[in-house]
Amino acid sequence: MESKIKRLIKKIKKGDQAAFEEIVNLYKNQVYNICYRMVGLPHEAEDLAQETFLRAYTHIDQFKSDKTFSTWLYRIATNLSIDYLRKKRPSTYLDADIPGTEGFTMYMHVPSDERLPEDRLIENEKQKIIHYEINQLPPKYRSVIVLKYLQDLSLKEISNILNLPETTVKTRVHRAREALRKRLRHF
Amino acid sequence: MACSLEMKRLIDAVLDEEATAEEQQKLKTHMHDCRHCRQHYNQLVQSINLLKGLEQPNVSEHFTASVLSVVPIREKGQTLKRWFKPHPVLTAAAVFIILMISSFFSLWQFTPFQAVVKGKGRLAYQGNTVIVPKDEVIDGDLIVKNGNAKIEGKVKGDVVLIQSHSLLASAGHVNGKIEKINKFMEWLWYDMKGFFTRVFLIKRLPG
Ligand SMILES: [Zn+2]
Repeated sequence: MESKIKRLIKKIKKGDQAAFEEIVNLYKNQVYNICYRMVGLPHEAEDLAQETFLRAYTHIDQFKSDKTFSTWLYRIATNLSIDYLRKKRPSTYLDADIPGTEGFTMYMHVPSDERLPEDRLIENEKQKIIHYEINQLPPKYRSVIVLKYLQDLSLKEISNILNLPETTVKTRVHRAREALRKRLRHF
Repeated sequence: MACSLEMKRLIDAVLDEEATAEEQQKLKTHMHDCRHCRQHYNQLVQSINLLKGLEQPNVSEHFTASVLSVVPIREKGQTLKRWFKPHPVLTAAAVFIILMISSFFSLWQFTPFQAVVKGKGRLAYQGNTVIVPKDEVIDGDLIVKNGNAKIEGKVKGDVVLIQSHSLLASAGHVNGKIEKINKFMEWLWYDMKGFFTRVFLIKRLPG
């Protein structure tokens, strides 16, 4: 896998668009999910994911081939998401409907007229509530939670992505975990 | 909450999968008796499981196409630029060599007829033919390009014919060797040897 990625990157550096397309297809869902859990909104997340790949393409020369490509790519995605939150805060998502109140329209992925079995419906609500609670965390805790528990990355990888010492990452994981425990304990 | 800082640390170590067997046992024993720590630990495990159980939605179908529609198409030139940027010394050398070769090449291609004496001696001309007159002795080498050499006198050194022919008259005499160069690369090599230094270049006389 790694050597395949390396080959593709080499081709992209030479201007090969097909190689770039392959890279996009390989990483698009991961990148999208990082952005989605970071900013909370599907459309914004998709724009940010697109921006991530655009940056990766135009700055591909800055990527050193001895590094891990996914780390570099996820760093772009998290940085763009954090920048977005810094600019957008607090209007968009804090005004959103809060679970327990009426509609979750904001996080609704399933068209409302579609009938769902009850347990599927419950699962759906559950997913929305967890998503919502992640989004209530300050961005610096949100990023470690997303990378560690949603992307299943190691502390070392996360510390490379966020450009932070591993000890800092670990402390943040502990604090974020504790904050979520308080919010999700009545589940 | 965990009942002590020590237990909190143990819980974190276990959840980070960094606790030793001994530490794990210690926490287990403690949780058996301490409801607070047991609850705290279970809630943390539950939160982690909820996070790990989150669905990973796929990005929309048209995503790749829309990314590709916004990326700029790289020009070929950028590939060179990309190579040159981190290699400034090699770049300077490459540019120098390219300039040198192209200047040689244009010299090779576009200087029509030329005759050069490296040393002493007098030449006569007849159209594209350079003549070493009868009784004349060239004390050195004669180099002719894109023309003919008619040697009626004597050349003490070599005669170099670059895309040229010699019309050696019977009376003429060449002490050195007659070297013929008909290819650019041969000429380039010959030139690089420093034999044909441009300092000695004598332009064709008019007429
Ligand atoms: Zn306790």
